[in-house]
Amino acid sequence: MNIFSILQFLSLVILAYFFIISIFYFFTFLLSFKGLITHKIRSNFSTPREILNAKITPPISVLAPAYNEEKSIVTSVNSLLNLEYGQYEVIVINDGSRDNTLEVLIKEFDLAKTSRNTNPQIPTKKISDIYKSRKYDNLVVVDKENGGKADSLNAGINVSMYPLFCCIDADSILEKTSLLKIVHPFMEAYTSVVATGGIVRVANGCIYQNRPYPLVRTSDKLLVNIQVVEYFRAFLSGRMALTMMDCNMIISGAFGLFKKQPVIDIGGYKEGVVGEDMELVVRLHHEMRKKKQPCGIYFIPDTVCWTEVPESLKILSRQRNRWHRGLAESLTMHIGILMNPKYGTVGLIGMPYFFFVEFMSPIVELAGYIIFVTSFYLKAIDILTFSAFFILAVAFGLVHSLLALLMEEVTYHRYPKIKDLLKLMASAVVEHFGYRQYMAIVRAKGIFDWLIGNKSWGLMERIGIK
Amino acid sequence: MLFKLITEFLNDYITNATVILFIIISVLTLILIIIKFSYIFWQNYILKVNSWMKPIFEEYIKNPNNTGILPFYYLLFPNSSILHKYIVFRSFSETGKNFELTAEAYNALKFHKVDLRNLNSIFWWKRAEAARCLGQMRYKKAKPFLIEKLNDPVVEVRLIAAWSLGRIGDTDTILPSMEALVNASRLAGMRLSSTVFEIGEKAIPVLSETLQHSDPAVRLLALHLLGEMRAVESIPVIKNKTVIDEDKEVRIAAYKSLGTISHPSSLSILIEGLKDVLWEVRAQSARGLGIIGSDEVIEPLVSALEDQKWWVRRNAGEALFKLGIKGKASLKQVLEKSCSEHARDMALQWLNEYI
Repeated sequence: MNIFSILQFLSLVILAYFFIISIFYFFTFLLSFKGLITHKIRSNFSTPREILNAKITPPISVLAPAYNEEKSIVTSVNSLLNLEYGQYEVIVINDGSRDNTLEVLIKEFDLAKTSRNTNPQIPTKKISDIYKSRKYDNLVVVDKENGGKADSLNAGINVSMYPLFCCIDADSILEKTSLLKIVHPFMEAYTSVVATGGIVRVANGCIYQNRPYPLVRTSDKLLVNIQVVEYFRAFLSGRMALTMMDCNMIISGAFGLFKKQPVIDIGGYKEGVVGEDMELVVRLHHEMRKKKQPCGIYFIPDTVCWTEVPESLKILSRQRNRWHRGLAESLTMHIGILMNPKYGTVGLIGMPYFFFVEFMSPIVELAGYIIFVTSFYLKAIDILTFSAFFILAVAFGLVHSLLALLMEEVTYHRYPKIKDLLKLMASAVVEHFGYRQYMAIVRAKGIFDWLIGNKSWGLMERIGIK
Repeated sequence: MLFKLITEFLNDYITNATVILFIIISVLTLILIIIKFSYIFWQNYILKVNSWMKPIFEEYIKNPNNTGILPFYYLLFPNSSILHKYIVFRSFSETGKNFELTAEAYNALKFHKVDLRNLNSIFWWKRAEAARCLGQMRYKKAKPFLIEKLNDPVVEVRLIAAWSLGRIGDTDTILPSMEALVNASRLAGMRLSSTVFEIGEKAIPVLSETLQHSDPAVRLLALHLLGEMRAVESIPVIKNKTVIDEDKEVRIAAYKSLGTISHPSSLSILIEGLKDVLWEVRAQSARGLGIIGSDEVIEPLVSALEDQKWWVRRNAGEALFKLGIKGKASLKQVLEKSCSEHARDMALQWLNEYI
């Protein structure tokens, strides 16, 4: 077997890989589309107002870990205190901030020390003090030693009073009715639902000031708009389809609602992992399905959390590198689920999807570029075949992005202007020429960093939501 | 060999494949733009239609005899549909005479016929929407059709039909609604509470009678609804449901209901409930005693602070907290003198709530 044959064989393998992925994406699109439309119609008959007035709405503890957030914490907490919901408490966990986060909170919300019963069911770093607001009955602030996001959330779970807890990022903003919508599956089937997650939308470019719902606009920056399309693909297409197949394996750390007891039973969030949000969900599936307990984990597409995405390639690279390391950790820690029929669709569809598509794709993609360029250079393939592969790859990717945009337009159409749609469509085209290849390198580097044990979080610079 | 075959295939069909993909992309692009324009156009159209229709309708509501609804008789689709929606929507915020006039207009424009027809649509959301409109407009003649919809294959339609029957206001629809919905969805409670609140006090005797139903789920729901309605007259029958040989969930619900109704005549049974074998009953009793609030509950509540179950202690602490100065004094005493660490912890926690 000569080098030509090897290159030709590898080219074929890569071609087959992308062909299978494209077929899978097509099916996920069909499933998501059905799921989104059904959800949209159903939600017309259980409006947030009705849920608010219902006497069976379960009380919720909202957990917001904060580390060095002195500039944004007051806005975030105020937005949490203004959510529309019956009975809920907001627990801000100050994770040993080095700036004045705690002092700002004490001053702004008139906090006083309290000796609230913490019911420490999950071990955490030491809690120094628990504060309660004199201004707001439902605001609690926990001051603890620095231990990371997972540790903060575990401390929040210990302090929380209610049977459901909602984790959110302190720098994200929830829409006023988000809690009412995200709790709905629990009201329908409390015993079988374990967690629900909302859609994370890009806040850059949107105007939120003094409005219950933001004025939704695209950004002037191409990099941001490309991420908007990526989020559509990930949430509207990916997570919705996985939910439809009962194998959703991610609830975003930015916004998710969990039943407390199952989380306590499996030991809470795992410390020392980069992607603690995905790891928790995969572990819930792993442990609960092993015991044959119901483990409904659902994505709710109209429950919105607005978050700021990186505007510079450097910060975006750090974030994606971290996400990929988190993915690698979560998958390898629970590799026993992979292709294991005991775990139902999670073992046979969810896990293989995340492993062979999400995790492996940057390696295969990069290998593809190298093999095709080498093959072309060594004349193992001709220009026509080379172009054919490239055009097919771009066209399939573009179709996938356009289908995601179509789902958004048919269902929630949050971007009201035609200009925004055109900008997003243009971003969907442009991303295939440079951005996609660069991200493949970044994610492949994430795998390398994971292999050498890099656990860094990386600095995330924020402009601030308007 | 295989590679050669595939590359030859690709080379042969490259032009066609590219053309097909670009056609798909162009079609998708076109569809996206058409959808966007259609949406913008439709929103503007509704605004435009409402801008002339609303003032005429509002004028009719103010002076029904002067204007009448003649201008709307010959409306065609989609304007008739926009008006239909507008009438139903505006009725949500209306009561009394204004509501009656709106309902009259709804009938006069024969929208009830449209909705009755839609009750049999093949699309479940149209059936649900029709049921909602008929109920919202209190169209009495729809009652038999709505009762039929309580057995619709789609839960949402059943839930909306039950709510609509409540709006229509006849007590004989309560039991069929409960039986049809109780095991269909947990949201049944939410819908049925709207139903019984729409019916009002007339629903209480029917619900009290339902406490004898053979299905514990129906009895549970009835207890929940009686509690929400603060039905004092139903206390004696609710008390009967606290007996030890009753279903466990029903017993818990009965204690909860007594607490929610919060009438002094339930004090003794709730105090007894603090010694029950079920911790859920003890927790509900503590909660209920806190809501009723009376000096005689202090001592049993102080004892409940030593309970083995955290929820019972928590509710007992909260109940003492709600009692004000006397409760505070008792909590202080527990903190200083109690031998139980659990009780002291809980007392301290609730004392801190006085900040």
